[in-house]
Amino acid sequence: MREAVRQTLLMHGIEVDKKDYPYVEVQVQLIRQLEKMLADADLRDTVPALVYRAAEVYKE
Amino acid sequence: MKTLYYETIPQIAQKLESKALSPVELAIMLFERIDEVDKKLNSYLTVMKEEALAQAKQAEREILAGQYRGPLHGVPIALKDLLNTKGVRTTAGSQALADNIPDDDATVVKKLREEGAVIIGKLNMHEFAYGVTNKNAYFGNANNPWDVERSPGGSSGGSGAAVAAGLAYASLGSDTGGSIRTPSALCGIFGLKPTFGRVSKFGAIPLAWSLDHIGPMTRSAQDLAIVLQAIAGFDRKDPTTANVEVPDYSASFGQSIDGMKIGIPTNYFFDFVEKEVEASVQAAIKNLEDLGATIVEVAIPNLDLCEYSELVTIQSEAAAYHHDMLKEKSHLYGNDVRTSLQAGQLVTAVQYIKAQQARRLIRESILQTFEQVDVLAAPTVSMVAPKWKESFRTIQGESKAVTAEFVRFAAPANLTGIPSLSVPIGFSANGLPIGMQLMGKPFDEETLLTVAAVYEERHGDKRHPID
Repeated sequence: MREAVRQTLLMHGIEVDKKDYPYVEVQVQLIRQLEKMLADADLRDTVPALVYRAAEVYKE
Repeated sequence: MKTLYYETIPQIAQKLESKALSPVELAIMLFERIDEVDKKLNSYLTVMKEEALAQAKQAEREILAGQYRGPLHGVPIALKDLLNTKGVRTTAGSQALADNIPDDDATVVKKLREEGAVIIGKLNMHEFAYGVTNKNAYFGNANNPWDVERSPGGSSGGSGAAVAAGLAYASLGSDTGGSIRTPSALCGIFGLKPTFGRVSKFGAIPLAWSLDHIGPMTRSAQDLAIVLQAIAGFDRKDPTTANVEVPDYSASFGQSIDGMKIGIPTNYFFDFVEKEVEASVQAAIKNLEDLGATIVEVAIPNLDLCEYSELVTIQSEAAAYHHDMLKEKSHLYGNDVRTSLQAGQLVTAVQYIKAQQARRLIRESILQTFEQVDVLAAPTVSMVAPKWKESFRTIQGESKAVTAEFVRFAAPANLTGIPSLSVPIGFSANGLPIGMQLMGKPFDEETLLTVAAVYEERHGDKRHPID
């Protein structure tokens, strides 16, 4: 995983200090862990809330 | 003079309008108190003595000439240090912006100045608002005035500490995952995250554009209303603001909550809450029922998606904003913020889109709930202020990360854009404040203010952390 993290961040022009890797990795793992929560939600027909305007949530 | 530190804005405004107190005297009094008290709290990053005294003198001249502008005229207010102030450094709590001097004021700052408010300083915060403890390696931590060995919460921790300790009559904070409400709860003050689009963010250094909100932090519900009245409204410079009418928030007061339906979530919001916090919130809900509200239990689907949606959205949007600066100045970021930003570069587009799909489901669930109730009530935070050395706390037998706990109950209102207000409802046995969160329908801040004011009037506990 460390090499994948290093390579990906290098593609962004960001060099990661050795001491930072464990903290970066744990956050990547956390997101993967949380992603399991999506398993029971049927997202296929859900339009993402990409254009987020207050008017969207405004209901009379 | 001592008794003036903790007065509400209407109380201090009455003295200013009647000329019993000069804005200059008031500003000097606060500067003396900041000098004395803030050594322990470290709530201010910049005290704007010179600029503030000039503003106070102008306010004094205007009031003496009969040109009184309203309840903020001559009133000292401080700002979280991510709001741009013309000619005054705006650091966002980071060494990376330690010498950043903006050319212009943020829209909300301009609006406060138009009302005659005296801007007295810039307040400590978690670096770039990307964290919830206000642990700050470069500027030093802002400490909780109820116990300086504890966190005030964050990221608007300096705002929470300064307002609670009587070092400002109000502050503006920002809230991306609870950063107004969490420090308000942990410091024992009122904090309002308005509806997304209600208040302009132009001139505020962003954390995550789609989750960020600017709002007031004060010592009374009425003070919240006065500051919100000043800063709310459409702004052509901020494409996320909504062109909807701003009501007269003073009409929220003196109202009854008789018959108002207050929803109590049966899931999520009461999971893993410290016993004392849960007991206080339940007692506050009972008090609202005794004051005439109808309590309705509600189950809200999809809230278990909040943590993923909030985390992925913040990480991605923050990574985008900081992308270039991280390449050039990564050594100037604190360790926690730097590694979070690095991790954010690794979130995929698919994950971001999934987070926004989850967000839509959460929003639909919450809006459907508001077809049954007027307000939702829940704890603001699951625990009282933790000690600085505490990263984890055991709640109901499970070890919980403090940082995740500070966001857990706040995130639904950020993800959905609904307004949310933290009301101080009491204290733990060891004297630490507890907050209750009230959430409302989009653009219905008035109802939240009404409930908060009714509660405050009947059950408000006006003890102060530092005399």
